[in-house]
Amino acid sequence: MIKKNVTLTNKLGIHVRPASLISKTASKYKSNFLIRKDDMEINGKSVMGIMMLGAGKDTELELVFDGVDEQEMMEDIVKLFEDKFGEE
Amino acid sequence: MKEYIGYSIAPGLIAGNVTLVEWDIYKVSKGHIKASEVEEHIKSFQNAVTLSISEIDLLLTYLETRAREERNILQSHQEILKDKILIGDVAIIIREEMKPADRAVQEYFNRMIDHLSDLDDVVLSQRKEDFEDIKMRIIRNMHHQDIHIKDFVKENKVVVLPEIIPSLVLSIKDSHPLAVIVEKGSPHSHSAIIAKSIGIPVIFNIENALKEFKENDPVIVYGTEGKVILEPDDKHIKEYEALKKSAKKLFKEKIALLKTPTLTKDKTKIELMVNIEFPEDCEIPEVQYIDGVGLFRTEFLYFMENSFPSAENQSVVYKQVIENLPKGKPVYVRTFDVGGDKLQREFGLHKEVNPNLGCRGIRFLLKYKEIFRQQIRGILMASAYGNLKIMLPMIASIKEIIQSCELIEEEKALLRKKKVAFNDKIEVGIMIEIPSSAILADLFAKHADFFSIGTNDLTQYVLAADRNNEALADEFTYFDPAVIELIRKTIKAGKKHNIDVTLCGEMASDPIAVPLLLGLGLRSFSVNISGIIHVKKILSRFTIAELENFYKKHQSNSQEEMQIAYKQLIKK
Repeated sequence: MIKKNVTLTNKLGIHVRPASLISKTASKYKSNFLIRKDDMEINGKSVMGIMMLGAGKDTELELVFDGVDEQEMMEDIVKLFEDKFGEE
Repeated sequence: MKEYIGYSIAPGLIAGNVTLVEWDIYKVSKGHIKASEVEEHIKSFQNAVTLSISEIDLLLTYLETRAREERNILQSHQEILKDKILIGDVAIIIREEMKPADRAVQEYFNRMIDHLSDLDDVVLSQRKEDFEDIKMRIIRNMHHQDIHIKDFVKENKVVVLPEIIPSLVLSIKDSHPLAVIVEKGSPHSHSAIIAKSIGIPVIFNIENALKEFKENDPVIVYGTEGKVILEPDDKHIKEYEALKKSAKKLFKEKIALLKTPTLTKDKTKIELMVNIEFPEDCEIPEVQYIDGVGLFRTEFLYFMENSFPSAENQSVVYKQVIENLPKGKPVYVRTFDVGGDKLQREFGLHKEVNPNLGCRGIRFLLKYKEIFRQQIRGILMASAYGNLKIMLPMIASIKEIIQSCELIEEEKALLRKKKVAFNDKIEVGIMIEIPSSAILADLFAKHADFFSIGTNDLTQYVLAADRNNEALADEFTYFDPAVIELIRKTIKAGKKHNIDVTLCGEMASDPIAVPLLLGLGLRSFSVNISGIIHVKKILSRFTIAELENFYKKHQSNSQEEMQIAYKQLIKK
C-alpha cells in the first residue's frame, strides 16, 4: 500500500472534467484507489465519488493505492495533480 | 408593454400571438412502489441511462463540425452516466427505500447537490449545474416517450414552453409555429444546439413567461438579441416594421448572390455543394440554391433510435432529402461511419484501445453485412426518385470496394426480383481519407465512380495526430505539405480517369484553404451550411491561372509558411 498527500493547485479544484480524468486514469489499473479528505473516504475510480469530495483549490487530499500495480498507478495519478489536470 | 431578455438560440424577427403550453416533464412520481415493481423500476432507470449516453453520442457527432468546445463537458457527463457507483446507488434507493425510479434519480442527485452546496464555495457549487443537467437528462429520458408535441403546438403562433426536450425539437417545427420561447433552458444544452437549425427564432430562459403571458397576447420576438416584447406599443411596432423591411432586403441580396452561378474570376464553373446531417438541413434557404449535397452523414439514423433502422425506414429518410432539394441535384449518401467504440455493447465487440484505427467505417459494415445490406437497400429504393450516390467511408484497400460492390449487386438483384424500382446506374464512390487510397489513387480510381476527399481523417492519419486532441490541433493541419501532396495526387488521378473529385472535409469551408485547393485543380467543394456564402465569395475573387502560379511558387513551403502565404493572399 502506498499513501501520498497532494494539494490541489488548479484554480477550479476538482470539477467534472478532472474528476472524470482521474477516474478514467485510475480505472486503467487493477489496484484499489481511495481518496481521503478530512473524515471522508471515497473510491477514486468513481466520478461521482470524486465529485462528492467537493475539493476546491488548496484542499489537501490523501491518496491511497493498494494492489499489484500500485506504484505505476500512483505515478500516473500524481502526475495528473501536478499537471493541474492540464488546466490554466 | 414589457420587455424580457433571455438567451438567443436561433435568430430571426417575428411578430405574432402566443400560445401557452404547460407540461412538466420533470415532475417525478410520488409515494412508494411495491416490492414486485422494484426490478421493473431499476430496469427503466437503466434504460434511461443508456438512452442518455447515446443521446450524448448523437450530440457529439453533431458537434464535431460545429462547436468543439462543448464536447469536453459532454464527454465528462457521459463518464458520470457510465459510473457504476451511480448506477448502484440509485438502484439501492429504489430497492431499499422503495422509491419510484424517477424519484430515486431525483433524490440521489439532490443529495449530491445539497452536499456540494453546503461547501459554500462559489466555484464548487457551480458544479451542481452539471449534476442538475445529468439528473434532468435521465428523468427526461424516463418520461419522454409519453409526450406528443403535436398535441401542444399550434400553427402560426409563438409557442411558449416551460422546457424543451431535444428529441422533440426537430418535430416541433412540423407544426409550423412562428417562434419558440422557452422558460428555462441553457444555451449549451442539447436542445439549444439542435434548435439552432430549425429555421425559426428560438429564445431560451424567458423567466416567468408562462405566468405573465396570457393566451393570445401579442409579442414581438427578436431571435438574434434574445429579446421578447409583450404587448408592444406603437413605437415598437413601427420599429419592427422597419427592421423587417431591411431584413427582407438583406435576405434578398443573399438569395440573389446564391442564385448566380458559382464562378471563379475567369468564369470557370465550380461545383458548390453542402454537407448535411439531418434531412431537415435541406430546408434552410441557402441549401435550395446550391449544386447538391456532397455529404449526407447517416450516423444520426443510428443514434436517434439507438439501433439501425430497416431499409424501408431508411429509404423514407433518403427520399425526404431528395424531395427537399431542387430536382436532379446529386446527394452523396455516406454509408454508416460508426465504430466499435460506440457499439461495443450491442455487438459484443472488444474494447478497442484506439477506435480511430479500429473496426469502423467500411470495416464495420463488411463485418456486419446485414446492417450494410439494409442501408444499401434503403438507398437503392430511394434512388428511383432522384440522383443518389453511394459513398463508402474509410476505404483502405481495393478489395473493400470490390466486396462492397458485390453486396450492392446482390441487393440490386433482390430488388429486381421483387420488381421494386431503383436506379441501376447508381454511382458508387469512395471517401479518400486513409493515406493508402490517396497514395494509390491512380489504381483506386479504376474501381470507383467518384472520389470524395475527407480532409479531417486524412490529416489525422497522414500525420498520426488524433483529431480530437486539442493540444495537437494547431500544429497538425491540412496545410501540411504531405497532406496537400496527397490531395493533389487524388485530384490528378480523378482527372486522368475522368471521375468526379469532391472535397467534403472541413478544409473546403476554410476561406484560406479554398484558393489553395483551386490551385491544386479542385473544381468541386462540399461545405458546411454556414460556409456557403463565404466560399462562394472567395471563389469569385481569383482566376485559376493566378492560383496555379501561386501554388507553384509556394509548393515547397512548410505548413506554417503555406498558411501565412494564403492568409495574405485572401487579405489583399
